[in-house]
Formats: sequence, structure tokens, C-alpha cells
Amino acid sequence: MTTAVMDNHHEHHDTGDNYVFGFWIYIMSDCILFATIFATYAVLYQGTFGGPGANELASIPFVFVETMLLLTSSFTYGLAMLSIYKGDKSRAISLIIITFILGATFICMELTEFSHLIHEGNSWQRSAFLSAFFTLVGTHGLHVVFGLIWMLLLVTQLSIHGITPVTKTKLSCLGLFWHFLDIVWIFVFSIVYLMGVILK
Amino acid sequence: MDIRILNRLFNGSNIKMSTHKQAIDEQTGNSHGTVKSYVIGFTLSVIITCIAFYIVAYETLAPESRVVVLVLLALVQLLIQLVFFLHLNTSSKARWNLVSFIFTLVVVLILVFGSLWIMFSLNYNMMAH
Repeated sequence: MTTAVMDNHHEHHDTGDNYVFGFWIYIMSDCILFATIFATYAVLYQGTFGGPGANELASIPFVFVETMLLLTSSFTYGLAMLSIYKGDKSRAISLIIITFILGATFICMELTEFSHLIHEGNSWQRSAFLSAFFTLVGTHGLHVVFGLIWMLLLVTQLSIHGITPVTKTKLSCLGLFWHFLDIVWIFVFSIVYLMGVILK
Repeated sequence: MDIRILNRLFNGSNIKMSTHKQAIDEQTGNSHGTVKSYVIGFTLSVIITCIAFYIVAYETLAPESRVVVLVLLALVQLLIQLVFFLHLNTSSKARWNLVSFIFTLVVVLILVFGSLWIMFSLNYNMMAH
């Protein structure tokens, strides 16, 4: 066997729709994870133990900005993937970097919100509600942070290796991950923040 | 196999339009949208998000109906993002994605509503009567 044939064989296993489908199955399992954390939140959200409730978290405009940041980042990532399929490497990299900046801003806002709560004395140790809140929103935020790190790594790989079936497949997986995080956020802002204000 | 991949790389565009609105990348077999589908998905999501925030911020409708509308809006936006961003549809390419998604949905519904049912029953049964 020549080296060329061996490389081909190796490359074939790392690419293709089976690989992306496997990642989709992982995303489905991540949905289950978030569902259990949501269920926990639903059970515990009234356990405020004298501390702040869901209506006393961040303000509506603040959460609206966070939501728009994440939604727009999902959109820019979609455009990045289109550039990849058209073979436009530099445009794709620019769009992924814009996605990164939007996501990083989201995380900064979330960290400000968390640190404000903690400095007031309202950390996850304050009440059952706050434990559930920090777990839910924190887990989502942690996923976003991993996505951001992944973005930086893929931009680097893209710059070095260019658009290949391998980098395309990896970018598709990151795309699934990033869109999925925006979808989870729909439920976070609806159930935690908006319901929190309505169900005072 | 090498020669064909090399040819495609030098051709530039790898997009093949199928009869569906979505396109499929020849090299990896991944489905993807078009600029139009992403713009539509994004615009619809922004509109629905704005409606949801508006309803809560300006206290239109009674509280109970607000909850119902909020849940419905969230579900609609979920569907929009699934179709336009994640390209979930009934085409043969996405069919198994759809099947696994529906299975996950069933598990999630059992988890969430099952937990709520159990915990509230428990709460009720633990109260002094």
C-alpha cells in the first residue's frame, strides 16, 4: 500500500455526513442534559428562601441585548458556513471571528450579571432557586465558552490547512453546536427571565 | 478518489442544487442553506423574540395568557431555527436527524413533565392535612 492510499483511507473516516450525524447524536444527548437541568429549575424556582426571585434577576433590556447577540452570532456563523462551501476562506474566517466577538460579548454580559449577584450575597448557596438558576444559566454559559475556544482553534486550523473535507466537517460540527446553544438560550430567556417577570 | 477531490478543489464551487430549497455540498455530503434561508430564519427569529419581550415588558394580555403565548412563541422560534439554521427537514439526507430528534423530544417531555408531576405530587402529599 502506498502512503497516498493510506492517507485517503484515514481521511475518509474523518469526514462526511456520518461524522456530522454522529455529532448530531451527541447534540441530542446534550438536549437531555439541559432538559434535566430545566426540570430541576422548574421544580425549585419558587424556593427563594427569602432571597431574590426570578423577577429580580437582570433587567429585560439587558437580557434582550444578550439574546440579540447570540441570535446574530448564529446568523453570522451560518453565513460563514456558506462562504466555506463557496470556497471563500478569508470571508469565512472574518465571519467566524465576528461570531466569536458576539459570543464573547454575550459571555462578558453574563459574567457581569453573575458577579453582581454574587457580590450582593446572592450566589448559588443562597437558595434552592439560585442554585438551580446558576446551574442552568452557568451550564449554558460554559457550553458557549467551549464553543468560543473551539472557534479559535478552528480558525487557526483553517488558516493553516485551508478548506479541506476535514476542516469542513469540523466546521459543520461547530455549526451544529453553536446553533444548538442559541436554541437552548431561547428556552433560558423565555422560562427563566421572561416567565420570572410574568409569574411574580 | 484523489484526482476527483483535487478537481473539485480547483473548481471552487462545490454546491449542487437538489430539488429541495437546500443545497448539498458534494465533497462532504453535508446539507446547508442559502443566504436567503439564513436571512429568513434570522428575521423571523428576531421578530418572534421582539414580540415575546414586548408582551412581557409592556404587560399586554392577562398573566395566564402571557405564559401560554410565551411558550408558543418559544416553540415557534425553536421550529424556525431547526428548519432554517439546522436544516432539519424530511428529505432523505436529514431523515435520521429528524428521527433522532423526535426520540429526544419524547425523552425530554417525559423528563420535564414527569419531574414536575412527581415533585408537585410529593409536595402535596407531604403537607399536613
